Amino acid sequence: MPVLESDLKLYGSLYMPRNDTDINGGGIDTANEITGEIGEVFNDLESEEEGGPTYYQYRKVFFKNNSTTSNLENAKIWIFSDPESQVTMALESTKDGNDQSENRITPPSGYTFVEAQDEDHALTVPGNGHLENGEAIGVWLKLTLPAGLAPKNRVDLKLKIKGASTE
Amino acid sequence: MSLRYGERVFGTGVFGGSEALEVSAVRTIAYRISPSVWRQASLGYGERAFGEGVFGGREWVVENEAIRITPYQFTSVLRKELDIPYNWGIRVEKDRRISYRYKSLIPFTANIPYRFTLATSNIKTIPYKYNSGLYRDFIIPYSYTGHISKIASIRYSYLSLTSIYKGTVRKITITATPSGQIARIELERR
Repeated sequence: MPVLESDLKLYGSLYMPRNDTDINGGGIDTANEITGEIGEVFNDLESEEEGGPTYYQYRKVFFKNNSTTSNLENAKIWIFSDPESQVTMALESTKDGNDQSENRITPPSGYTFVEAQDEDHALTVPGNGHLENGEAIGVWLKLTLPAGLAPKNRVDLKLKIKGASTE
Repeated sequence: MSLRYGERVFGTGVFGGSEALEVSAVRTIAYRISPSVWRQASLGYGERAFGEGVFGGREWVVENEAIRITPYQFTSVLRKELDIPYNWGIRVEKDRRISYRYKSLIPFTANIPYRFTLATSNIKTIPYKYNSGLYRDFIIPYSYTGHISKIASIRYSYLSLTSIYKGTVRKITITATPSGQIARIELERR
């Protein structure tokens, strides 16, 4: 059976602290599927008063190929929708990785965050886009919150993964 | 080599090799942006949430000076009720949860300073004054229509809160009139 859309799931990482001090990121947390609930990934976001500092928050999520039989080839990931233009991303260099950052407001070392706002600028999954069944790739997200923003009750950031399934 | 209909020439695909089926998935990450004036502060016993007084400003008769966790929010929502634990009574440490409500923040877009009136629900007004040495400047962050956050320096003071601490005060309402530039803090007895 090929990889189905439902096989490609998004999960949180093991460390997603609700403070600015604890370790952030780490391995995949398959008990924490990201389903679109508010605050699952980014939280405690406050835009400072106008003229104040820009706030950054870093989070790591994982796209996992949950197929038990098929792999994903030429897999690439991009930001499908970023209505506030606040998010950039980077892929972990190894699959099923454990990279972490010092805390949620400190960037992980060795990463360059890019916009990847459409398929043409999508990031290819390391290993020529090969995502074995059962494998996951870490996606670091950087949210930039300038000062003086109007509050938003809900912002839907959408990530897209696309590839070719082998039967 | 002759092939029958549907047979593969090379590999397993129609045109050779294995067939690759394109698959994609979109996953949503939802988040919320709060205005800068949304704060949740942990205050120790005796610390003030706003200004020096329990409810801001200077207290001349300090009988009640306990405020603990004080989540509060100024948004363009005209009414917002939040719980604020506090203590009252003469040296009696007793927690009460009160509902704290900001009502109509629109007038804060007008000129400052504003006058604050403290009143209990039995219409007793606590006098205040400024320009006579009793006032105190402090900062109230707020939002107004359009969700634009600003900071205004609001000057006010009051003489005494003695009487209002002798009842069971559960509700505070801060209101402000759009044109009169008068803000009001109302303490309701229950």
